[in-house]
Amino acid sequence: MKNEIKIISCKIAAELISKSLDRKLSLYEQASLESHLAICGACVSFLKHLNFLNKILPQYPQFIDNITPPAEELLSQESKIRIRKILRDKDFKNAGS
Amino acid sequence: MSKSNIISNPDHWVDHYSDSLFGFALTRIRNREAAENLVQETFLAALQAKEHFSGKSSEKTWLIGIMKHKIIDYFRHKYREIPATDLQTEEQAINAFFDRSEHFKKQPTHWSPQPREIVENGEFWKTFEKCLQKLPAQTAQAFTLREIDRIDHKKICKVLNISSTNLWVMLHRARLQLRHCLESNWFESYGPFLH
Repeated sequence: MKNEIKIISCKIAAELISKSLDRKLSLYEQASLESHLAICGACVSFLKHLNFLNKILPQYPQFIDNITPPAEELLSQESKIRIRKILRDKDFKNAGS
Repeated sequence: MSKSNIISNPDHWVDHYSDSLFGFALTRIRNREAAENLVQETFLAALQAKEHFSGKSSEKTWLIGIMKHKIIDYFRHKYREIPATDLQTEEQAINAFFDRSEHFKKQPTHWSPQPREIVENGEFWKTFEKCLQKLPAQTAQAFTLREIDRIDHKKICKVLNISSTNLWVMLHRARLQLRHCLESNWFESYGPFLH
């Protein structure tokens, strides 16, 4: 392919930035993106932000222990009682078998 | 107790871990009843498997590991017969971030905090969860499986019963929207949601 690097819009650049998190860009895609980034500060920020989020998200805490969740995000008392009873019955059966 | 590497009495599990596990499931599957069932199923599976608990991780981490499998099974079952998310809706959502000449409507700005400052910040993660809630359920699920749980693309497509194109469009939409939401609600003020 001897086609020239096309000028791409921010919308296309954003797509390529997002794609680059999922797979390696082709040389042509990479060149188009780089020529866009050379003249577009907004897309440079966008690239930085996606990389930033990509880096921190696997560290999303499994439990946010220092914050009390709102009541609607807690298991209801009735459910706790029910689950506790099911566990007891089951554990008792296991012990007896 | 949660630090010990031996199994505590299952009777205590509900007191110690049920709210955390429930919150973990609720963020991912967004259905109270199903999340409650998953807590119960996780405890029952743990009861069956407690002899195999190696003690290498904490009891809490062990339970979360079991729950992650339960969540994958839940998605697999739920999406087996549900048609894929409407691609058009996702594409419209993507288009909404750009003007007619395909520039960002609202240009991304500079984020001053460093990743390491953010990771430890519980309020940031709360804001993140609120932003995640604003996405359609399946889009948020695809994003969570990929970006947080780091599950490979092929498996996500299988579990959510979607094509790879569909997954890519969902991930792109999620990234655009979350970035925007976090910028407006956190980075611009470097603080929690005000409402």
